Amino acid sequence: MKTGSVELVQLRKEFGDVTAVDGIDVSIEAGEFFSLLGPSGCGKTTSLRLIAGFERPTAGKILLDGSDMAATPPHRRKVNTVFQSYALFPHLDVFDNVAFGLRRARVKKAEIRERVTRVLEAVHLGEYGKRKPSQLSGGQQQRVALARALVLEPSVLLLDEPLGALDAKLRKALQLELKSIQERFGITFVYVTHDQEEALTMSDRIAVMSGGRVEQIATPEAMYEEPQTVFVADFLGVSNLMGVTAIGVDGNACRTQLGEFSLRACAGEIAQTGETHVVIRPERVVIEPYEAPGPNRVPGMIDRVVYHGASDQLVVRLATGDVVQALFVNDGTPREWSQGTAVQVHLPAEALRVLPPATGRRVLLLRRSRLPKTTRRRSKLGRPDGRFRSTARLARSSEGRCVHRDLLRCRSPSAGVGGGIANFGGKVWLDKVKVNGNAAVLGGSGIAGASIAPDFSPSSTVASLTLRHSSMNGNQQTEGPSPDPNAMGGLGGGGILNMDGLATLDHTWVKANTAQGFVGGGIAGGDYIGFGGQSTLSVSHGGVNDNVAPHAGGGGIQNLLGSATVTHSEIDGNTSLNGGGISSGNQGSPNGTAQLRVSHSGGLEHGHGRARAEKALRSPQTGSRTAVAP
Amino acid sequence: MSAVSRVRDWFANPWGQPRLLGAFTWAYMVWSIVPVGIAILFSFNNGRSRSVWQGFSTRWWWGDPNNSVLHDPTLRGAIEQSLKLACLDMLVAVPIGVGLAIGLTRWRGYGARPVNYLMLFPLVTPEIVMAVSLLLVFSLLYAIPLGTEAQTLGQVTFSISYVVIIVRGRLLSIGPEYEEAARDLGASQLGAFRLALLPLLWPAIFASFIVVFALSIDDFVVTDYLSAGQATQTVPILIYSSVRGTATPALNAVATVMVIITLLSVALAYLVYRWSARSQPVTSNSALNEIAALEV
Repeated sequence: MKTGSVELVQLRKEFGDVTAVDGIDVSIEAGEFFSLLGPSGCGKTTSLRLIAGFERPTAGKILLDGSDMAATPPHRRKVNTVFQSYALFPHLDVFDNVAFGLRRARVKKAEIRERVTRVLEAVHLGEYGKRKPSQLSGGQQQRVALARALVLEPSVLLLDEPLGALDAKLRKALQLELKSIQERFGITFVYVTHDQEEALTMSDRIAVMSGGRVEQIATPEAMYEEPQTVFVADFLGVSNLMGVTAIGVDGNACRTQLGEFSLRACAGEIAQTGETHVVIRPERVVIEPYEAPGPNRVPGMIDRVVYHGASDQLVVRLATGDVVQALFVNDGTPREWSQGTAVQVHLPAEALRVLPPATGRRVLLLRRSRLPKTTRRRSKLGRPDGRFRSTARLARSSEGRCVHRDLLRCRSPSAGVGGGIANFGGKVWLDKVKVNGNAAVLGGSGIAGASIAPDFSPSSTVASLTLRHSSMNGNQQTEGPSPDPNAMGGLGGGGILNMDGLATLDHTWVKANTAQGFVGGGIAGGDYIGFGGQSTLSVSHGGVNDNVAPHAGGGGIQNLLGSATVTHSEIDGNTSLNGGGISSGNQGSPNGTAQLRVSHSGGLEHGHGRARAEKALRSPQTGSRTAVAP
Repeated sequence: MSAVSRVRDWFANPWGQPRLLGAFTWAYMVWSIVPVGIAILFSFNNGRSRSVWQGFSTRWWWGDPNNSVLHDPTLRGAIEQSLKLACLDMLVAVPIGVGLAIGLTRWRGYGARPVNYLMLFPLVTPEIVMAVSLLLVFSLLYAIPLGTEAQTLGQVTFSISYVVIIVRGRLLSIGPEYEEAARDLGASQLGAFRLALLPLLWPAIFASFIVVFALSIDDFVVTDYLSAGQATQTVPILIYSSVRGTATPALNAVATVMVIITLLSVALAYLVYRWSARSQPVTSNSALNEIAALEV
């Protein structure tokens, strides 16, 4: 029987109060090339050091060919390690380095000479026996380290990122060499790496680790084609992850809802229902001309075309706000797509894979490694009930203070208002925060503020919102105005919906937000529902640019009932139904007045912006009073 | 172009030699070497004066049958005592310091941090305080006889700190991998230390030897407090005590001997260091820098 099987049973290692390895179960067969893959700090190196014997497990077993090694010191384990830093003894020459282990095992001199020579030949270093490690190149040192471990004929060889310090080309060459050595010697390799390509090309099987746990163990093909968790899908290769609502099984597929678009997904856990993620590899995404018919198609716009040499990468922003990457092999045909082209993105059902819903912890871990602070933030802000539940952070009659955080892609199709933050009568204070790529149905996709309770009953406290040095980009409000005059329909405010509270924006940019409702693309202010309150909006030293509101009055800012002050700001490139940049005026309530004050702003001072400024200052409604001080 | 600006350009040429820095360096060198040079020069004075040049002679070295370095037992005894103490100090302080340094780098516990700071204590305590307290403790608490034993122990007490600092720095730059590699390849704990760690530590150990030697040769306060009369006089004590008495150029000769011995030992240590560090991955000057930083 071949020796060299390794089994980790409920292996656990804690350093103080940090759990590095959190009870993993891994079974490695004899003669297998097994990779432990994961981002730094996922516990892969600790696992390796546990197998080598440099660390003592807190709990669990390490079975080497069936016998527990957990209490055996490293020099009595039939396991050898190739270190990331090689750890070649600088005071010994190459021959003595390689012979080190044999001398410890009291092998006869003649045999030492023969075995060392043979293994040095095997790694193509036959001539280098008399050199010192410092006289060798990185790649040669790496091979000496390998030879030093191989000469002992261990049953398991542990490699800790052995190619990490080498340049790309050498790494490629050594990858192949390592693989062929492994096959020739028939030794079990346990290979730790954070490089997914390395793991995919060399391994028989891979274990992807995250946060001290094993996410998935599979062959490279299965790992890439059939990721089982959101983490694996995101970590391995470029993947397009989209948050969707799974509705249920429909034939051989799962019907899912991505914003207003229905997608069928054939792969993965198709029996899933509720909020979850679908994933598609960029090479499986098909780009078609705009308005191409058929199912599983979502309109979008090309955001960027990135030239990669062998392939072109298209970054497409879908109408739902999701960003999808597509990969095209560079086969010599001229590129059809350029930045800004409207296209139809076909996400083939058989390539679309439904993943089990990730825990919030994992998703956040994917996006930003600032997990602890973000979760703490979440717990401080309340969570309202009822219809306007949002997956995002919520402030409800409470104070939320957020400094230097990113609130990204908190989209949730069920969020009524406030995709990023919903502020119901509370105080929200954001400094250096990005609120980008959020989506909501009714209004305020980025941030919604209103002095009302979540069930739309009046609240006694005034909602206040302060943003400093922050950005509010690419948020989407999806529902259009209702044809029924009694129904509310979508409100608007792609970036910020400020119903009757105070909003202050300082050094803050509100860009490329869209609102399908009847007010304001970038920022909407005013009491549309008729509680009688007035909104106050102040924008200074910032910009409200490139926002879109096809059904609303003001593309950039719409100020219905209340006062708006804009100073030292840019209002540029906004589109809407009647007021391009800023629209001010009382549309809803006949008794209120709207006040607008614009000074020292981009659109007004420069000749280039004059026409736009005039258009921007159109106040079409009667009963409004507009004060302009350029 | 005026002459002034030409001179200024020559001096402040950003692409040329850093002349201003060079000038300062040389000025400092001259400033610091002149006193030593004069002291050495007067050891060859043909007269009793140590400040008026009266012609060249070697009488204070070996010519004078009573008062020359070669023949005066007091002078010879002081040099011998100085060298003896230096050797004893090196032999005791270095092994203990190396062991302490290894222990301290491995110790991960509640006490590790305070102890690491406490190691600096003998360095920052005024030496006179140290000397008084050592004298009290040795004579009252431990009943150690004053003289060579007490002097050695006193010097070891503060020398260890320097050894620990030098060796610990080196240990931290070596890291645990070499020992782990040796253990992985089948060496026992002790074997890994002997075969992997010790060869890498040699430069730091040599540096420690030099530093301890220099500290011991230099030391006046502690050695004086713990001495037992004329028999255990070292060179600094001898020079200090004879300043008020009948000082002859022979004292300058003694000082010169000490300078020569120190220079020779540093040169020897540097050669040994170069030899032992010839294949080390760490820059070969690090131990010298350690010494330079510590020479007080």
